[in-house]
Amino acid sequence: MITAAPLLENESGESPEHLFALVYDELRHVARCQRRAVGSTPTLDTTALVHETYLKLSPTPAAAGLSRAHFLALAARAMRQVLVDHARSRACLKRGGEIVFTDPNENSASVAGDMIDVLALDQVLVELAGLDARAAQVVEWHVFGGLGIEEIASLQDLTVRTVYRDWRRARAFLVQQLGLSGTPGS
Amino acid sequence: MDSARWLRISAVFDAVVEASEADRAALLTDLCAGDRDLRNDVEALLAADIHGEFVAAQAADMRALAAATWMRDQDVAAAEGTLIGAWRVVREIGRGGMGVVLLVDRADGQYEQRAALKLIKRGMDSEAVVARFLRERQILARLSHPNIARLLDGGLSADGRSYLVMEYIEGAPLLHYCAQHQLGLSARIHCVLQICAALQFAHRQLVVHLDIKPSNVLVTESGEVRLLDFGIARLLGSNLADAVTEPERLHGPLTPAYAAPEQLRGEPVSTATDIYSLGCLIYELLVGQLPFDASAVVNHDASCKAPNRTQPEAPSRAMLSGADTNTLVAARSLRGDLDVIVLKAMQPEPERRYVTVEALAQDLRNHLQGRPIAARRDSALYRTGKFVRRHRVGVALAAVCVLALLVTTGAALWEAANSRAQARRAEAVTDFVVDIFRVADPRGTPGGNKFSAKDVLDSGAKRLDASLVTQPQLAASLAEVLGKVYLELGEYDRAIALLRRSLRLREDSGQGGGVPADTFAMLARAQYEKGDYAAALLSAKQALDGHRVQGKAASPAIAKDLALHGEIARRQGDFPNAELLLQQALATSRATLVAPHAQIAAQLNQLATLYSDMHRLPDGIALTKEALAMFRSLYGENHLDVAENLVNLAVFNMQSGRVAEALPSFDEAIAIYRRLLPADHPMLAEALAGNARAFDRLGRYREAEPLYLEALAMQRRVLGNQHPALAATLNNLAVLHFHEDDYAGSADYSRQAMAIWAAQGKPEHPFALISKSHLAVAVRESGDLVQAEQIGREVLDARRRLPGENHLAVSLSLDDLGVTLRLSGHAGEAVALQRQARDMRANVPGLPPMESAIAQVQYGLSESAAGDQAAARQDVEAALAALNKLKLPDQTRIASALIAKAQIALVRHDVETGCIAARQALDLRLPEEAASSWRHADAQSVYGECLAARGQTSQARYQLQSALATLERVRGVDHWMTRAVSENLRALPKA
Repeated sequence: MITAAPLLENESGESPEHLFALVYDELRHVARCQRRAVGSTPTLDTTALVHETYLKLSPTPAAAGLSRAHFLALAARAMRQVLVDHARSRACLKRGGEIVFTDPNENSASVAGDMIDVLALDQVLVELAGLDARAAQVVEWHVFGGLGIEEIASLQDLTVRTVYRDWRRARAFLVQQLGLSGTPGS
Repeated sequence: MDSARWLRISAVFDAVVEASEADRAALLTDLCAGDRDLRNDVEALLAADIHGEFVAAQAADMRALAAATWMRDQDVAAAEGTLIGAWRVVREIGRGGMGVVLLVDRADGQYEQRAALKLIKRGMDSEAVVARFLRERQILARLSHPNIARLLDGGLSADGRSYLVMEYIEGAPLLHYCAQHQLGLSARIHCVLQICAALQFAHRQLVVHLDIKPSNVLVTESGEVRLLDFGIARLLGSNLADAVTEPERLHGPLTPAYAAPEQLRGEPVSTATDIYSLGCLIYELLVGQLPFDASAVVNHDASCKAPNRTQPEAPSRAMLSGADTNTLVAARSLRGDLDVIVLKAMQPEPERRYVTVEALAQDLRNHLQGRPIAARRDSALYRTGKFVRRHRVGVALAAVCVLALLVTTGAALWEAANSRAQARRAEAVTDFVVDIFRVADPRGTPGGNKFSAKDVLDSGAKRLDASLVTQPQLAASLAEVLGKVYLELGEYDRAIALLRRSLRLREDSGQGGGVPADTFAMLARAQYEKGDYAAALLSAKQALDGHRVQGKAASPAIAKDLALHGEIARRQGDFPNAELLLQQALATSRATLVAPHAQIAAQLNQLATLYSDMHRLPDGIALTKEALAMFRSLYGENHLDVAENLVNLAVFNMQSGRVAEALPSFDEAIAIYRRLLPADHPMLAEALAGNARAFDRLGRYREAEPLYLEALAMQRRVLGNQHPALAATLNNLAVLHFHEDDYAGSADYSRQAMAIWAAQGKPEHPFALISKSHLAVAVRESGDLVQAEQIGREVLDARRRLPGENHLAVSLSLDDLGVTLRLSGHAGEAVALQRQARDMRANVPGLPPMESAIAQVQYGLSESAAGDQAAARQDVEAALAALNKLKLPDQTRIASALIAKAQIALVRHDVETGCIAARQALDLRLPEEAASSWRHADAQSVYGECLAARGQTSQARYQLQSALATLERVRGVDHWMTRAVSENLRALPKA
């Protein structure tokens, strides 16, 4: 469980942990439905997933009174948690005793090898949250929740310009901490 | 860092990052107000900001990928406690594209056993798979080997999914294990050897793996290696083929990154397929990355459509080219044997890989123990069986150095190369036969190498008499077959003995049936290859008579007999007869076969080769062109025979002096070789060197050098460091550098070439002496007359011993030494030696006219130095006339002769003639040479002397000073040429 940044208070008085679990489960559920619809080659749009989960949950009594903004924030956090949990379990498998099936898609793993590691990003985000909670929040919502800068601005009740500043600063911090400044593409 | 500090950094960063580039520095200075640390931190963050967009994009990709894998893994497996067949699920231990892997315990109470159960995803299985599994599990269960994870059970689960159960191994995947334990090179190789042991064992049981890859290899804490999933790919693949027509399913769920080309193409697989994948695995283990860009094979379909996967980059080079160097292996340690081993295992064509896993393992062990590896020996000449009897125009491997003046053909060298080639072919065939016997004998042969096909052949040959006395006809056929095999193996004595025995047995059996002409033809070929031309001629005649008796007056077989006759005559130097016979052969082939036909083309090539020997270049060119056209219409553009004839054509053109015309043929041939041959191949190296030679002769030195160097590197890799072919290329490089006026470089290459000959135990081989004579001249030109004289004398002495007096090579040494002696001030001895050379050449012709003229110029200079001005003048004039008649493309030689003429005129006090000749020479020297070439300086200095003699002191001073400046820079202050100019300058009257 991620504890570094406090969850937003909800207006209904439900405990944040409870709501979080609710959103987390619903995300998984929605994702599974999507998977069935798409078939065996999932191309998951996390933004859509988060929004769809919101649409599913908002009419329910459990989520009553929960603003859209707060819900999306929760969903982003849940998405982060889902992906981190999943990455952890896979990392565990890689540490031994693993028996891997032949996987025609296995090469996607080597593609992943070039990308940012979910767990490393999570770790750096925890650090950032300690220094600059608002900027860390922006990263979580933008990267894990797939929320746009404007959406985040309205969530945080800040100007777009301010959020963008947070994002740009946070981004530089991530590059620095993840040691990505040697990467091509700039 | 605390939040307060971060706050300060943030404030500055936010302000500066939004400013324009131009304003940033000032703003930083302003805002940081002298706080050095603050400024550093902000600057670091600004530097990171440059990559911000990139990381944002990456983060989005990361999220999408993580989400996608998460979704793929949503397929929840059997929960703990569930029963699958006789197994109870303990927990999930792995996942992959084909399903989930569960840790299970035996649940039927028979005995305690922990195992790994693979529950195969729907779509990847079928009932047929299970049925097949049940049929084959006896075979797979037999795979009981310490390095193989055993397959224990298999069946259908209650919900209808098929599953396989195998021994549970507590271990880490190979790559992970190696990284974790920081294994060095030899420890990694030891891991591979364990995999080899497992594979070898399975192959003997006639089970192939077909999905060798690092993740299918687990290593236990104690370092024991276990190979997983034996036979599963095949099990799953072979039956899918019944139901599914998609090509990628034909061979089951292969892993493209490690799959052999034949697997990707859906062609038959074999033990060689495993060897390929094992090669990939070794590659990755050593280099730290896959041999091929994973993205290039990520799309399975694309791989199927583009199956011509070429050879990968050599591991050592892959490492140098900057890949991930997280392995503990140094690129340097891979160069050489390991490169060769891996590349041999990964040959695109299965038949060119290691014949057995054991052979690969043996090479790895050889490498570990510092012994020579087998791959080197036989990768050198692939398809030599085809090449050995090819007829190539003798490519001039050893080039001619203008001043050394030695003209040679590479024929002898090729002879040497070919005999080695035959030795290698023998090994290849032996290996092939070994394999046949291995496959034919499912019991296998423990130890493998104790059992050689040659032993079988030999014992077969011995058994012929003992066991088949009652069946002479069968014995005769067997003897013939064995004889043929020995012939292909290059064991001509045995082949001859067996073929003779076959003929005798046939005769004894008195069964008649006419003359066994084919057997005689084979015998003739064996005798011919052995070099016993007299016997070969007799046998060939028998064959010819036999074939004539058997049928018509003309047949393709008769044409072949005639061609063999012709070849024998050619080898014996009887060119007229050879020509007659080869023409007859060709006519017969043309009459009895329909053109285009390979036999006709081959005989055209044979005849062309004869014309090359006879220096009948236009005829050779015509035939080569015809052969080329025929091979093209037979095989298209992309064929080795086409390439070979292109090279022949190029060499003919070069021999005819049409060097520029040779270039396109070389280009084309090289392109074909690059497509068809492995990256390193002697034929490709030969074509590259030939092309380089053409560039050299055209004066396009810059283009020549890289080709020579590529050829050289290739030869090193394929032939090792001590092969005579390398010496030839080094020699040519020495010549090239000589032409480029790089005398130190030239001397260095000559020394390298000589070192190879010395290592071969042949320091006085004619080719070694060529290099040594080049060395003598290069040393002289770089200024060391004393050493040049010493080396020159050694060459002369050696050549007088072999090939002996009255040989062209001796005369050339005499000339070289003469020039050196003259420059050292021993004009008398110089004239004596050069006169000897000249007299010798009256009896031993063969020196091309240009080289003759150059020698004559040098003789004239020596005569002049010795005081005989009249003779000197005569010789130089004659040489000049000869050079003018040759209409040479470049004027270098004429300019040199004019300089000589001017020098001699000056001695004769014929100042006007001297001035004119020197001025002409200077005008012929290219202006762009002015600042850099000693040749230009040479002309300037002589012109300066002439001007001085004419009394034009200041102009003379200008020429001499200019020449001196060039020479001091180009040749050095102490060089004899520089010193001479410097003396002349001092001798000028004071201004």
